[in-house]
Amino acid sequence: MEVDFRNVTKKYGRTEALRELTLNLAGDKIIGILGRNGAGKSSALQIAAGHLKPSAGDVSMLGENPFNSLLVSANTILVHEGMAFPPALRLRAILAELERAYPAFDKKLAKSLLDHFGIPDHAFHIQLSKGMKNTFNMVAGIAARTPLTMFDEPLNGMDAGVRSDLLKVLLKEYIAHPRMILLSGHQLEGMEELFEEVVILHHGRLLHHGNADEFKEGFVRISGPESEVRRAASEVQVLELHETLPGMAEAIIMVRPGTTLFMNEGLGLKSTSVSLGDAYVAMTRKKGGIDRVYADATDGR
Amino acid sequence: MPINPESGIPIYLQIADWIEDGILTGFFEENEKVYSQYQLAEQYRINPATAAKGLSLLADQGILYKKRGLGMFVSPDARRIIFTRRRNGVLQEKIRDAVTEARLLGLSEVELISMLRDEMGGDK
Repeated sequence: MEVDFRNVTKKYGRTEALRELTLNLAGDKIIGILGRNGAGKSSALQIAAGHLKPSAGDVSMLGENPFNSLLVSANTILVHEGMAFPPALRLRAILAELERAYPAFDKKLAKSLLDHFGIPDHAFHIQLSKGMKNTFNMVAGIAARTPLTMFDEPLNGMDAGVRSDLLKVLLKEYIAHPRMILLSGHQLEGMEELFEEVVILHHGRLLHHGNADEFKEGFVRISGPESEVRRAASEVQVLELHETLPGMAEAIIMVRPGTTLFMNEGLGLKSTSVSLGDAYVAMTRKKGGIDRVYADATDGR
Repeated sequence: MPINPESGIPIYLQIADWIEDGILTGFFEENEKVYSQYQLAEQYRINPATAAKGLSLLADQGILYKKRGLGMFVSPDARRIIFTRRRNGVLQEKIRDAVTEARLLGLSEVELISMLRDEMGGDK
């Protein structure tokens, strides 16, 4: 499977959701699409699924432009909170429809999972709570076994136990039936160890695309006495530096992959790894962050 | 062993360490098959590519060897390789710590070496 975006721009009125996005995704991998709210994640996924037409630029998948392509729609599923199913259909009828739409759909798996999560298949989709709706949608997406499977913020509103079970099933399914899986989110909620690659979008632009492990290794958190943290941080690229306790500070810094950071532990400095979530949040943070905004708004008091 | 994403050690190194521990304790015996990348991925809920990176790290050091189509096996030399590397690594680190501490205290090289010599002598 390969999805290719070339200079894709998407505008809603005056708002630009995507700005000249060029991105090539290839291989049966689990890829995290990360970014803050409004970064353009959902627009990118909807364009890949053929649900939206780009304002400019080209998208290609399976040799076709996804928009209005029957080939693409048979090979793609986009799971998101706004998934609309016919209100007159019970869940079991929806499963039957999905089976007709997707040749590899595994109805037995879907039914067993719904059963496990306590979702009765005679219910109507609109009757479900937010968490249950998202659970049903995600089960549908997993069971569809489409070569390109996309989940937009899939875990919202779910219980921790359900979330963890679904991620386990997703990984088992991926191993048994490899496919390209795109998972978007701004809160990662346990997904981060599943990613082989990450794509980071910021204000509609591509900020980073690469191997997830290497990306994470590019960041280090150092903490200790403030003066020492500042001194250590003065020679490297600092994404974030803040006081933790009076006289103590913590910084997230970027290091080139493969280099070791020289730190004198005798001075009380500690270095630890940074989670994927903290890394991308630090990378997309405005200078000074919320502390600066608050300080400016209140005249620095 | 639970994988700890916050521990400061990359996940694939934690996987490699865990297999090494298994070899040292005899859980994996020589010429025996170790877990596949997929088994490791499911067990620790990580991407199979990350698990594979841990396995190939051990293969690169000669701790594991690959049998085509069958998977990864513990090489007869594995224990010795792990033992040697860990001993050197740990000792090296402690020496570095001692040097850092000595500098902080303003000890000279001669003073530090004489302390080392005393320690070595004291063991006899």
